[in-house]
Amino acid sequence: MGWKRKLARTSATLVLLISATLWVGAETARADVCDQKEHIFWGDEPGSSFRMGAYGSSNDMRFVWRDLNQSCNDTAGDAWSTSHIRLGGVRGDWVEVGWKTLVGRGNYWFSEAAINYTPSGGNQGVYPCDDVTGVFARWRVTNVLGTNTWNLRVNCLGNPGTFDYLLHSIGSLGTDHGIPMAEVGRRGGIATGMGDRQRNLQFKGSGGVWHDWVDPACASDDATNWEGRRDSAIEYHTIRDDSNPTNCSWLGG
Amino acid sequence: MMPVRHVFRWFAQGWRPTCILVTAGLLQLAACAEGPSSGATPTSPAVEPNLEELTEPEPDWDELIIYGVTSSEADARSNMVIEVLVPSLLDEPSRIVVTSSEAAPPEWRVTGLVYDDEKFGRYWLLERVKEMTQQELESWLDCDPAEGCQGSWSLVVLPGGIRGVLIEGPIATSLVWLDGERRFDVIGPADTFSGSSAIEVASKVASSSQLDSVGP
Repeated sequence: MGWKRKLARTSATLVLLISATLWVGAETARADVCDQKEHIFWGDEPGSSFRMGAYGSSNDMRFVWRDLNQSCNDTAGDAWSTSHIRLGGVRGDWVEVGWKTLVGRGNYWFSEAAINYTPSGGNQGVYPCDDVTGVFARWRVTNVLGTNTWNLRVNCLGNPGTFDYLLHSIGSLGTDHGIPMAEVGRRGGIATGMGDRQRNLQFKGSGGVWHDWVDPACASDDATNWEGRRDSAIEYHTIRDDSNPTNCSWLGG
Repeated sequence: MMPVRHVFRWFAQGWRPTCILVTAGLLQLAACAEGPSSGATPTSPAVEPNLEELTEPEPDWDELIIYGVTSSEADARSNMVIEVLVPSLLDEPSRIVVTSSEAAPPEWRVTGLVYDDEKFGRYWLLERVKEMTQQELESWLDCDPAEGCQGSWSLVVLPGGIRGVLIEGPIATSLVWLDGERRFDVIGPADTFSGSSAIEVASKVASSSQLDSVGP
């Protein structure tokens, strides 16, 4: 074989190796960012600590068409908002209801409950209200008093209808109280948006009566370029800050 | 540089993997599917979206208790309304954590014993007032994947006939049981703390509890 052919084949081999390395690297980086979860949790902090004795959380959440990282597939590129109860006094137990948008799939409602970080229940369905940016719906996580069962509801507040739809009921969660929270989360890195506004924030007391939050505050925020802002005692929203966003880590994660 | 036409002829003779784009003397390396590639864009599978991915943050195995503060055994005992058990059949915990007294009333506080064991790695023993019945605990065995349940939920009988539930999930392994007015959870990372580890630890805890109740 002539030296020119040998040189050509050696060069081609090197090119292929470099190509493969770059391809694997690109795929790994894409997979990493698509798997990376980021969250902003806000809770009601009436005094020096977050309220731990709520028997429900009611959040009017604004629907928004969020930017999604289109290079992620539908199981990894998503963004969500929830009405959330962190159950009992431990981090690994929770129950929540809310909505999420998935790459290439659209908008869904979903519920989720976990015991010791293991899902014990959950469900999903097509987004039940008008998926128009700016439209609010009321999402509620509610304890059935005297039990450890939690009902998960949505009311579209006229867009359409004003009925309380029972989306899911999850029983046997081991406790009947927790920290009421507002959550926004994403996968897909900075290409996925985290715009969120939640208002008329309420918690349910032990007597079954709903009360307004007193003082929304950041409980956990590991989002690289978004942060929360307190609007009032019963409202918060998120803003994008690419320069130096504020993170908080009381709740961890 | 070899003329472009020679490069493509050479590839046409059967080299794998596939495509490299060469333009105007500048190599552009494109991500391609394995094998002879047409450059087609992968399509999403035509199934319901997988909503089983947990939305929650990953655990911080240093901090499992909300408003937990590092405490002594004496402080833990004074802050809890239940009898705190420091199992004699386990090694000394590397840390004791209790819910801050400012954050929760006594009946809602949790004590956590943190272990860094040579055999089992990092795990926690959580102790709190029980808020469920044995019947509710055992109803966890009915955890239904069709209702969003993940992992394996199985019955374990501990020393003394105590019936607990072993939860082997994608993120954590835990074993939960009730003993009198107390709820115990042994929990650790799924990748280092196996179901058999949880059973072995829980058995020692349950045995310790019985030894303690008998007294010296």
